[in-house]
Amino acid sequence: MTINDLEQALERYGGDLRRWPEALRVDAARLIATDADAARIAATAERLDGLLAEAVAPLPVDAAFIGRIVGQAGTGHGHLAREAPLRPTPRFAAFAGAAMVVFLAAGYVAGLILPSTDSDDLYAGLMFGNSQTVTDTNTTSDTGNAL
Amino acid sequence: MGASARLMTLAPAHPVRNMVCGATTPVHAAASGQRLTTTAIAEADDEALAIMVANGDGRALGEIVRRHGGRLRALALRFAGGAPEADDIVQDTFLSFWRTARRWQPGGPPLGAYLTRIAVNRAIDADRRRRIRRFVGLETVTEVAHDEIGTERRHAGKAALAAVARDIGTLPARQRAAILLAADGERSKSDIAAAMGLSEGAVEQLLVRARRTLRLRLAEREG
Repeated sequence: MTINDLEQALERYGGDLRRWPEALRVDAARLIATDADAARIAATAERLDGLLAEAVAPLPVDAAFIGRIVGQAGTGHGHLAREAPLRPTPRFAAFAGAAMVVFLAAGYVAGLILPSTDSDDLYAGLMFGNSQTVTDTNTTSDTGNAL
Repeated sequence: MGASARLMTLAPAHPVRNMVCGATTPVHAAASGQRLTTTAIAEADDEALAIMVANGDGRALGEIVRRHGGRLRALALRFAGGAPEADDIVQDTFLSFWRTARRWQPGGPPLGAYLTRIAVNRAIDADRRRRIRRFVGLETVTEVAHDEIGTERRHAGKAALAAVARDIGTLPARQRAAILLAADGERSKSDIAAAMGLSEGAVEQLLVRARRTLRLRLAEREG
């Protein structure tokens, strides 16, 4: 077994050699006993295992905590009521500023590209209905009278 | 099949009559809708408690929280990195179980594993929401009214543990969940895979990457 093999096995099985497959364990123990670097690497992995186990050691559960959950369940909905409040950060302001600039620019470009609405006929059409339609109706009516 | 009928089929053939007058085991009592004493609830197994929760018994939910809450709280704390977020995850986990207790099947995964799976999913969802909020520039206002803060401070006194906890917090969500589930050494890869809804191979890859990252960082600090 090389140091590289040892590292790979430590990452696969963890730092506790007792959990390793028998053949690998024997090879690893031999390497650790004869190579200082291997011993150091194995010791670090074992220490990491210890710290990880300590990190997930159960935390106390007091009556207040239990009461909150049972009380929430007893409300009938069983949904988490509390939503943590949020506050904006400078990044949010930057996002908002950037969005405003984008919308202003889009408005400016739209103003350049779209056809002008500066026409009296168009305003009249908007206010009193489509002038072209009115004209067509009158024409049809006149034709009917003539016939 | 209703929850009561489901459990009646799994109840032992010759149960011991010791929990409530006229009842047999807590499973039978719970399945038949009888109200157990507080002592009986404390002595009831997870299966009986689960059926009581399915029948809407808040005391049984409290007992389940007492039994499994500490482990889930530690898991959530290391995953989320903050006590308020961790408590939200744990509360949401138990409230989700309260709403969906009938889905838990006796004879399937143990209740602890079932709750762990809910908690892991909740934690990953919460992490995703937090990352999106952080991306758009919103952050949660931290509340400082939790007794876990004292625990955190005690832990913070242990520099190595605090440093590893920080390192865990920098791992991608799935690596973080996998390494935390493996941390106590009590779960096999298949248990972790079941809790995370992944294949064993995927879990192994996650564990390998997480262990490599954490070991190299620990070696850098202590080397």
